[in-house]
Amino acid sequence: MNDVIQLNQISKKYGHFSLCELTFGIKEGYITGLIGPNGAGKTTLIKMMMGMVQPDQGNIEIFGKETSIKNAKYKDRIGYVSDENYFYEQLTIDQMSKMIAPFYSQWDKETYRKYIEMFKLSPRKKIKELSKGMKMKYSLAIALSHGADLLIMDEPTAGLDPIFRRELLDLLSEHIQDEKKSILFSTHNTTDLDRIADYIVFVNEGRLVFNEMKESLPNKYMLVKGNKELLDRDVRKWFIGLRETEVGFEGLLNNRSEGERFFRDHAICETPTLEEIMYFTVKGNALYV
Amino acid sequence: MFNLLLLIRKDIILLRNFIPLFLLSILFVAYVQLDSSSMFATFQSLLLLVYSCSMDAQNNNTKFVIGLPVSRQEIVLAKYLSLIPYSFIGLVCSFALFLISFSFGYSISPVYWIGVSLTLLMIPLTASIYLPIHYWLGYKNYYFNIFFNVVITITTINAGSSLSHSSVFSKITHLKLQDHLVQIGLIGIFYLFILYFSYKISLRLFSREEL
Repeated sequence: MNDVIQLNQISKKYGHFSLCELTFGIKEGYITGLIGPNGAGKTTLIKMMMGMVQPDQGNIEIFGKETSIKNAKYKDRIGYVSDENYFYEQLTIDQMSKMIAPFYSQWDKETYRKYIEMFKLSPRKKIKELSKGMKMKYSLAIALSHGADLLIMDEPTAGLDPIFRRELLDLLSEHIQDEKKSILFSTHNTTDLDRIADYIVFVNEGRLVFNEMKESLPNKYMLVKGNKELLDRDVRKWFIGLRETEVGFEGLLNNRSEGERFFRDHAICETPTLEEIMYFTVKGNALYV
Repeated sequence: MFNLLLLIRKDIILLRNFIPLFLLSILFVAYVQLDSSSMFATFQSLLLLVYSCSMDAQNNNTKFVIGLPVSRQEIVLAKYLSLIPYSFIGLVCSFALFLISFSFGYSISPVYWIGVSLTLLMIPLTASIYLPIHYWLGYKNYYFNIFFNVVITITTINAGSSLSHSSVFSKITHLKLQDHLVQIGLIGIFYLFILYFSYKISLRLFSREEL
């Protein structure tokens, strides 16, 4: 199984924020979700992949070749959806598309028309007249119309209504059916990933927490709910995240087999959702309600 | 090469809405000085470059361009090469003004086309000052562009009234080229060096810019 994107020892420093020697790969033929709280470094990573930001150290390989500021050919095979849209506001959808189309060697007019109709976008409407959700739809239509082998999307579901959101997720699932196409998308909404992602990359404070197959997370992580009497100094150390109330606690473990052995008869052991994994990992042991 | 043409095409598409305003500004210059000094109207074509740069700076549209399969080098080079079609548009406007002046019965100085040629040479030179500043300022370029637009318009108007009657201009227009080939060659090399140097600075600044 090849990595369509490979990040090697990527570091970047911006004032108080830094990405620290991140190394991970994005698998070809799968949907990978990039998750993390605000300011974790998700957008910076995506910008690095698109050549908008240069790493201080390390390198990025896309389609097996190292990216550089001088080479942009690899972007011909990438459909990029930004968290904000930077289309020329004074142009109509039609004018904007005519401007973009010749830049891509595999631009497919019919596919583009299909998506414009599917997303109910009026070709004569100016970009500035579109709502945020409509702009996102237009951005998706562009990204899906040039036979991209890799879709890189930064918060693509932000600003979309729940119906289209669901349709989009179905569309993305369809897009990777030939097993040659890959998708990387960052999101805050972990329910989107619960629905379609194959792999999850979790970054927090510029560090990689994990890069795992989504199906393997329940084997690794466990949410424990129990009485406070169970918590002593040693037990507390086992949890990567702990939330205490006056009567009890909820804690996240990243060693399920060991956790089950200890807590099975004394507490409730559950499989955490992605949101719970993210929440407890980010908050750590400092939670008291 | 193909990408360079596409990037220039992109700018020309963006300029469509600006063209009527540009023609108005040319007419304004012509109205102020409808005589032989309108040969400097070609200089106004720099407004097209400034407007296209404004479009990229506005709303951070450079991020959109960077998302396309084009390198930063091509983006910067295309901006410099776009001066060719812009100068051509300026030249056509100058020719139109020449015809208008002629039809209104103004006597056209024999040095009219020399003035136009010199103005054409001044366009890349002025752009070589403007573009590095544009890439240095990035998306904060908005106020600088307003300032630069005013400078271009005032320079165009003043050049007509002052430069065309100046002794330097008179000397240049009456210069016998064959007697000064070495000097002209050196000036030519220096001129090309300035353009190349400006391009290199712009590229360096834009390559470092984080979007």
